[in-house]
Amino acid sequence: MTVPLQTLPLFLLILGSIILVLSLGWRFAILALAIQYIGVFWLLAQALPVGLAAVKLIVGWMAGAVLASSQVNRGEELPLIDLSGRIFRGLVMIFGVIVAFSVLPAASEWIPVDRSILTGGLILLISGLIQLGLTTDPFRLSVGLLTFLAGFEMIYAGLVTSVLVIGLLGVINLGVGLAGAYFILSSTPEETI
Amino acid sequence: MSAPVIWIIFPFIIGLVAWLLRRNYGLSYGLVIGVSILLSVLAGVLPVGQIFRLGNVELEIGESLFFLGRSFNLTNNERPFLMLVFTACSIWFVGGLILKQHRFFASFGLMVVSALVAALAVQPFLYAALLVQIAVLLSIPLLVPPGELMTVGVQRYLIFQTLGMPFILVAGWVFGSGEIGQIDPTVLPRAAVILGLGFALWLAVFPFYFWLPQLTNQTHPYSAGFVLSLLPVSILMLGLDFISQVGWLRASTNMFLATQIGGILMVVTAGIWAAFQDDIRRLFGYAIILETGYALMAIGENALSGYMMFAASLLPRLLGLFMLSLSLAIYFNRKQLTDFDHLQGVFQRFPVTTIGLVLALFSIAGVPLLAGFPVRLEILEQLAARQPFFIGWVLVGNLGFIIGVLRVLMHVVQLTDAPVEKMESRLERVVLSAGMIFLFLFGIMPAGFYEGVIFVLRAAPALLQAP
Repeated sequence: MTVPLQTLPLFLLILGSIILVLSLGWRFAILALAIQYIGVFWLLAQALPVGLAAVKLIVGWMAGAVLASSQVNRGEELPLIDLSGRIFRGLVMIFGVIVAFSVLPAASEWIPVDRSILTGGLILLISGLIQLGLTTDPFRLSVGLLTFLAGFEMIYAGLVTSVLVIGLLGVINLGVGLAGAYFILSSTPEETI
Repeated sequence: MSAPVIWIIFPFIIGLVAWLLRRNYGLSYGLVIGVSILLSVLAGVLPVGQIFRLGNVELEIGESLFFLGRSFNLTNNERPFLMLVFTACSIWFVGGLILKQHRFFASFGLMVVSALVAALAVQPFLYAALLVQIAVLLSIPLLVPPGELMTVGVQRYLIFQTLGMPFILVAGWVFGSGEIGQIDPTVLPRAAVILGLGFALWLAVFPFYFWLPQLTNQTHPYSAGFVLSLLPVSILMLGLDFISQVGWLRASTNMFLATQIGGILMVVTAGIWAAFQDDIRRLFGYAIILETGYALMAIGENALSGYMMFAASLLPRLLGLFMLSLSLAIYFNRKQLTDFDHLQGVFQRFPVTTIGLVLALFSIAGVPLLAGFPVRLEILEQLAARQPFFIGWVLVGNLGFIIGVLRVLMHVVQLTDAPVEKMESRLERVVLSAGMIFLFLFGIMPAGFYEGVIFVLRAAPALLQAP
């Protein structure tokens, strides 16, 4: 049995999303984010010039690196949640993937984008929304926003291939990463007036 | 030299410089205030796209700036809005200096404004959503000053504003993808719904507004007031620009009906909730929702009179929210709690601030003789003429808000027998007194002020042709 090449990045996106939703330590979250962006790059490279697709990868990794640096300075792991919570989160994400595949036929009717890109985008959009709905932690919030934006960017890149749009979305991704790091570090005493 | 360089790039660079100079508090604020005043004056006197003489030199300020194949256009039509925005900014920054706001306030504030002006200027308009998102991100250090923890309200603010951006981009892609006549007619209503959802998320329209009272309750009132005054006004102007540029939207009666119903729901629900609030800072959030509700009701008329009422409401809105934010910030800076259990004696400690606060709230509620009244009356009259079924509901909402304000009044006038000292500074009293005078002047002589501000509608020229 052969697996079509387009399904591999989708597996990466689903794997990354599940790891993120499970709320493991921050190192796992950054790793999952990096895996997600590889999947995004892989899929987008089929529709965009490799250079433009690489922008998404690099910007995503940079945003992840900024977030990671804020965690390194804190020197502590994020609080771990219990096993039942993880099972619940995992099931929610699996349900989210099922929803993504369910809405795919309707979405593909009026969004003229390659089917694999649309699938990946929907998975990330739903994963981002799940993450945003399940946390108030600034780090998780930023990762959720980055995931949501990555999903939207995938779909939108299939519609609009303007360099300015890709540049501005890159700035926004970096801004979300910086805002997340600022959220985490803003209470540091030496920064007070 | 072109207008976008003057009103977009220059303030952004100055904001950046002010941020670099943040350790020198006075210089940083002075620079930002000076530039804001300068840009406001330039918007008033500098003709765009025409040759003029400065001494022996002939100058022309171009309208466009091209960047990566796209253009930023600021014409004479946008000058009234630029003047309004930069004048408002100057006042907010002066207030920030008096209140000793944190050192990111002025620098990031100016950068936020330059991003919002860029959003209004960019062509094609679908790029505006990205620039608004950049403005939202730049407003984060404003809302969460260094040394303070991020609050849930700010989190929700960031989430909802970010969720709004994709909807606007997708709708912009549909409407901007060519001649409207060539687009599949079944797609256009869907795109309009998506556009509406995007604006609903951005403007905190019912039912997406629960984060707004959270934000005003958990962040510094002055920072929240600045962001929540300028951001919705700019987004509403952007909405008018969209409507002006897309003829199909102007002709869509369903979209305007939905806009009006959204506005009515905001007024009704915010008003009723306001009646039950026990904290003035949460009431502040509902005041913003009420203001946006009235703005949407005016726009939903899809008539020149409605658009004019929207434009006329900008001045009372900005002044009322400024006074409210300033008063609450004075309480906040002196550690005065604003929940009803801790207001006894507040009038003795902060007499001018308390009067300013109550007048601002009454103005937003549309009480006669104050700034908000003439516009509220006109909008309600127009609504009663066109949608008589809804007017009762709107009045119920307005009554709810007035009850909320009366409850505030009852609590702030409770005196204490314990010895108290006045805690306001002289400068704060001067600014508050000036604001109160303008609240009355706007209310007593509205025509003089409104005639000037109505010119902001030139930024959306097609709307001036509305019936």
